[in-house]
Amino acid sequence: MDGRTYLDAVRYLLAAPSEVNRRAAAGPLYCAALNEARDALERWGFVAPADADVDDFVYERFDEAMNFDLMRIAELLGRVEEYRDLADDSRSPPSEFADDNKVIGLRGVVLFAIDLLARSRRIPPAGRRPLRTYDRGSLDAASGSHEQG
Amino acid sequence: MTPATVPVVIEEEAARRIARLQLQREMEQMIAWVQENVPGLRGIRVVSLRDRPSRNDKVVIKAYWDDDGTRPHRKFPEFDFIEWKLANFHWLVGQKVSVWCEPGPMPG
Repeated sequence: MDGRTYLDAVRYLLAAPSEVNRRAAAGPLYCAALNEARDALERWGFVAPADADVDDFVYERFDEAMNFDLMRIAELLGRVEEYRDLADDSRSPPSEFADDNKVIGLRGVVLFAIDLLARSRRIPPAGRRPLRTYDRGSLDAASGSHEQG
Repeated sequence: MTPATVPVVIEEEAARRIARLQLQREMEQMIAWVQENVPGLRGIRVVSLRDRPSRNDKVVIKAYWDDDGTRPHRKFPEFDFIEWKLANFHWLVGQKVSVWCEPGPMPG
């Protein structure tokens, strides 16, 4: 299943506006962003080790790349993860979930990020082995931002 | 664009973190950037984020603005900020500070 499919759940939840549904929407928002980002990393050859914390693995790969688009993805991941944590805490202020604006705003940012990832579909140049070892330069190259050859 | 005159709140823990990291001057410039570049700005609140294994000492400038997320051609000032901060500060400084645009008025 594509990560973006989680956004369908967000749409269903927004169709029945309530505090609990806005809180519930935070989870699929984050799942959409995280899974799309992980899939992009795998397309570029960065596969999370089996014992890795996927959230941290994915965030670090994007956050430490010297590339504006990739850093935007990290920014989005961190932000939606914070929002999900806030939403999952029943004692967090109800005012944060008083209307749909925040969920709609974050959904817009997630869609923007997914589009960025889709536009960065270029894979390492033919003839090269898939990238397995992380380094900043190789991730930039894999994302197509500093494509060589 | 004329800088907006809006309330600016720096939460206690964020202020401590900024002082410990010696980022006061940079934060002033970053807040000024928000005032100049976020349309419909209503308030600014600087907060610290909980540390996680993949990130620590993060500070966020929350910019409360008039945006309900439904504009046909949305702007994302928070993404523009990334380019600006990396052009103006050391990468490690830029990594510590984010801008998040939040819809509506600043909570009291």
